[in-house]
Amino acid sequence: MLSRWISISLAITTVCGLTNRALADVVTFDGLITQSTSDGTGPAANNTSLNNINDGDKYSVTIDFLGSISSTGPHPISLVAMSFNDASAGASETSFSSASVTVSADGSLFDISILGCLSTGSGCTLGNELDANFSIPVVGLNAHGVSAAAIPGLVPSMDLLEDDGVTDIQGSVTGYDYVGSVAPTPEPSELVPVSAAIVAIVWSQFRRRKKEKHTYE
Amino acid sequence: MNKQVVALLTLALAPVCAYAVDGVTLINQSTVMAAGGFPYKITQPGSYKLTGNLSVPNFVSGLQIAVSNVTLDLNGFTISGAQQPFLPPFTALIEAIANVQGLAIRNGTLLGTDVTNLINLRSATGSILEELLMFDVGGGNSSDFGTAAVVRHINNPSGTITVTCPAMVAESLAFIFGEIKITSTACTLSSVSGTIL
Repeated sequence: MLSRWISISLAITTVCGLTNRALADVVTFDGLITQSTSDGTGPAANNTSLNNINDGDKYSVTIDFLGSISSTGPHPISLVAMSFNDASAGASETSFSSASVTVSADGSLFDISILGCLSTGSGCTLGNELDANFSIPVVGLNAHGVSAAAIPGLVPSMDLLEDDGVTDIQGSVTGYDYVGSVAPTPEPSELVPVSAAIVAIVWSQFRRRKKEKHTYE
Repeated sequence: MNKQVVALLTLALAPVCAYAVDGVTLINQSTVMAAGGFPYKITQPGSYKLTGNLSVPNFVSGLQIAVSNVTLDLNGFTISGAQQPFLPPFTALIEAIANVQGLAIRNGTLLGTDVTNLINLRSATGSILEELLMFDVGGGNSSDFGTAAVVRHINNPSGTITVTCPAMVAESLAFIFGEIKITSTACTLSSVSGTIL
């Protein structure tokens, strides 16, 4: 009887754990690298893969977050994951602990300002951050394959600072993409209790059937 | 023995930890917007450095300094404004918003759009301003460097720079230098170009 209650409780926990997750939206922007460590910045120490980046490489930044962005104003988003990737260099950075997106009206454009804070180094505003500022058409805020442009006077459009500002990777921003309501991939740490609950349910069922089998015998 | 090893390791690592943080707070458009937008208020003494240009929207101030002992290094970048007019609401690209002392602002460009307040340190005393290019697109610009300022290597061909004596201004150019004399102590202007009022 007790094991049945445990089974029910664990089943509820498991179901809640899987269904209580909010849907995530994904913002992606990309462009070309305009400053790399070969230009004299760095060398990167916390993330040595950044040393492989070259000027002219295509890079992309993906921000996976809970909730959505559909209006102007600051959006201190709840970050699921954020990554900077330069596939041709085999370089990536995923150690982002928080992010913020601000959308400002600028005539027929929206100015997008993004700050991603790294968990490495001495602190976000002490030179461990990814900054991006670019403009997109108003109709493109929640659209796919949108052309992005630099905001006059605000260059570089993308700036990845690491190692307390010693490493400074810069780039243009030419493309923007918004995907709404994507079920986020569970983090490994979230899978552990869910997996444990499933194992516990199977085990208790196995025990119960074994016990019933012994009773019939 | 173990305690001695731990103590030695602690002593050995202490300088490394100290050097890891140089305490310079970096400012750029993204950090400003993430902090709630302009005006970006500096409320802690210390060293601040731009890592990108700043674009300040209409009728708001850019950077507001509310505390003494602040060094602001523009790091060669530009703070550009739209409408920061002489008339109310009296905004400026950089301004002191309290009676502060010991400000240092250096190494960058301030660009106004039209009849713009670029720097307003009227409530500050003992500031240092150096290596600044100050321009406006049209209509002129105005700056007040406060009381007892030391000023050098400022280039502001179409604007007015006002200082309250005592003050030292050297190797600088402005359309007009304005001196405000409250006490008997005079201002010293050396190797300057522009009309002195």
